[in-house]
Amino acid sequence: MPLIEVKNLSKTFKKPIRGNGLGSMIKTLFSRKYQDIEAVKGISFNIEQGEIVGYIGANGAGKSTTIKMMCGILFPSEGEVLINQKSVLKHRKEINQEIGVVFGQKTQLWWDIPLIETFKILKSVYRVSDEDFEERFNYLCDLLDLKSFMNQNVRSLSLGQRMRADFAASLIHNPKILYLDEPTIGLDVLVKDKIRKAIKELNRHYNTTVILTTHDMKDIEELCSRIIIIDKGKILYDGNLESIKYQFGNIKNIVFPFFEGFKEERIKLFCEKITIEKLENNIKLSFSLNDVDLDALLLILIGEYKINDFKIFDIGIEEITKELYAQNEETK
Amino acid sequence: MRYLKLYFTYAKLSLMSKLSYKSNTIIGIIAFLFTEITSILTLFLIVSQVPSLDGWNMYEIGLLYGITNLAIGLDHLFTDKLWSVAYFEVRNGTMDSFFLRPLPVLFQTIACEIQLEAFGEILTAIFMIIFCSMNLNLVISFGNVLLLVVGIIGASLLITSFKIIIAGLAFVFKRTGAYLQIVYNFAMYSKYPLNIFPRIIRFIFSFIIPLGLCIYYPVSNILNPSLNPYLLSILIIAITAIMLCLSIFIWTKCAKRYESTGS
Ligand SMILES: Nc1ncnc2c1ncn2[C@@H]1O[C@H](COP(=O)(O)OP(=O)(O)O)[C@@H](O)[C@H]1O
Ligand SMILES: [Mg+2]
Repeated sequence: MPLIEVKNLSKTFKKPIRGNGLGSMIKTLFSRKYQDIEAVKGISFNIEQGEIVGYIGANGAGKSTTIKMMCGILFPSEGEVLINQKSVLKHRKEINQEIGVVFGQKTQLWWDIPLIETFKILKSVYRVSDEDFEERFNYLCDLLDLKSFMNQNVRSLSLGQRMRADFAASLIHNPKILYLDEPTIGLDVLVKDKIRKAIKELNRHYNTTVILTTHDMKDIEELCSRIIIIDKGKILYDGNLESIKYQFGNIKNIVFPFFEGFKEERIKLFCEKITIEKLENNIKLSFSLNDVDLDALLLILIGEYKINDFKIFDIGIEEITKELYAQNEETK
Repeated sequence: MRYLKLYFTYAKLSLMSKLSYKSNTIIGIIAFLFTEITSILTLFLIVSQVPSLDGWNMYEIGLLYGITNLAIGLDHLFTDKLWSVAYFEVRNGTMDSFFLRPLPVLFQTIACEIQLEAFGEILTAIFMIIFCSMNLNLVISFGNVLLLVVGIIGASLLITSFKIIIAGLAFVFKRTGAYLQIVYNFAMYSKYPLNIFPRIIRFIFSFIIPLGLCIYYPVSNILNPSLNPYLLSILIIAITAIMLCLSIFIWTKCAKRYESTGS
């Protein structure tokens, strides 16, 4: 039996439409018109115990909304989420005992008091026994290096420290499931690395199931065996990372500053299938290695155009999403 | 029992964070003390010009005022967070973490803040009660004192119930602070003897917002016994319990509409 079952889940927000000006403001007082925002549109998937799943998509795709429904903050408009075959709707408090949540954008620590107090209160909130607490607390402190600021006020912590603390706080009750909504946003490389290692280690040590949203391709590559891609509230892809990388991984981007004398025709002549984009002062070439010999292209750029400050990128998650979306539209 | 213990844990943290802004808290208490003292002085000034307000003398009015303020202060001390729920917590989506803990949302909302400013009200209220009692011939009996205590707690819980209902409606309407303000201000009139008001207001205070029932009648009774204190106590307990259950029910229903915020 899957640990998490998401069944035909939808969420529609109603936003009042407000006009400008006094007249229409008074009008909205009496008759409110609403605009429906369908943030999530009938998605379904199952997740097994011990999986690490990357849940990805562009901004506004509906990732956070899904996560919020999966942990009991939001009530679905339609469909349901079952955890251990229990509806999150009907058994919120019971299920909260089994899950830990970190939102990169919002802290759940008690703000004006020393960090250690947050852990103490969570111990009583989740009814963690003394021995379990001791074991967990020391484990997390070592894993995330929290000792040095444990007695500091939370409001005085740096973003990196705060995130690590938030992460530890969400795990103190040994949850079966950990939801991470952009846990590495705004962090420097070192902290990102630490958090990734901690996620891996936790999954190995406690077999914790992790669902993670992120914009950082490296997070996904290092952690996730499976990814679910969502766009405009619908699932575009659900499967392992390997096959999607196989499908799109051969796509490269080259970016270099625009200069006088650059001719699109020259590139097109070399290979029709290179797409050329102008981004502010830069030129971006995208192509698949299946169609283009990278060395030959570089020879043109370096040899003929004498470009020496260019960058080569792998395709990012935004582009994969875009591609998938385009493909989806075509097949319709 | 578990909830009581948890309540104290939450309260301790709230006090700790209040104390990390010591000067703010002290200024808050002093500000409330000042407001209270000025309004009491105004009251005495007015009452001393009019020798008798519908049969109530200055000290009797002072006693009623003090007792009402004690009830108001108690509610203020324990449930101040409901104001910010009504005004902005729901609208700004800052209640997410309450929905993540294995505890009732309402419990966490109330437990997470102790409002020390309320001591401004509570202290002046106690002072008024003692001062006025010393100048009055109170009919102190077990029944009358019990009725008074039940009345104060009942009135306090009634105010809380109304706050819970209106703050709960914020889950549906996003922002209900202004409505809460209206009802709250109206409730403040129960500081004055009921029978100086027109009949309609008397009716509201006896039956719709039954604060009058909780305070006016018990105070009248200790001044001039005419009612059975035990029966009245039972009535107050019953009404308060019903209102409290109703408010929790409405809150719980509305909380399902919580929408958080988009990023
Ligand atoms: N509380 C809310 N009220 C109204 N609209 C919302 C709310 N939360 C999210 N939305 C809207 O739903 C869509 C999906 O948002 P979200 O789930 O936060 O996306 P993501 O996390 O993938 O960036 C967006 O258009 C967003 O504006
Ligand atoms: Mg998001």
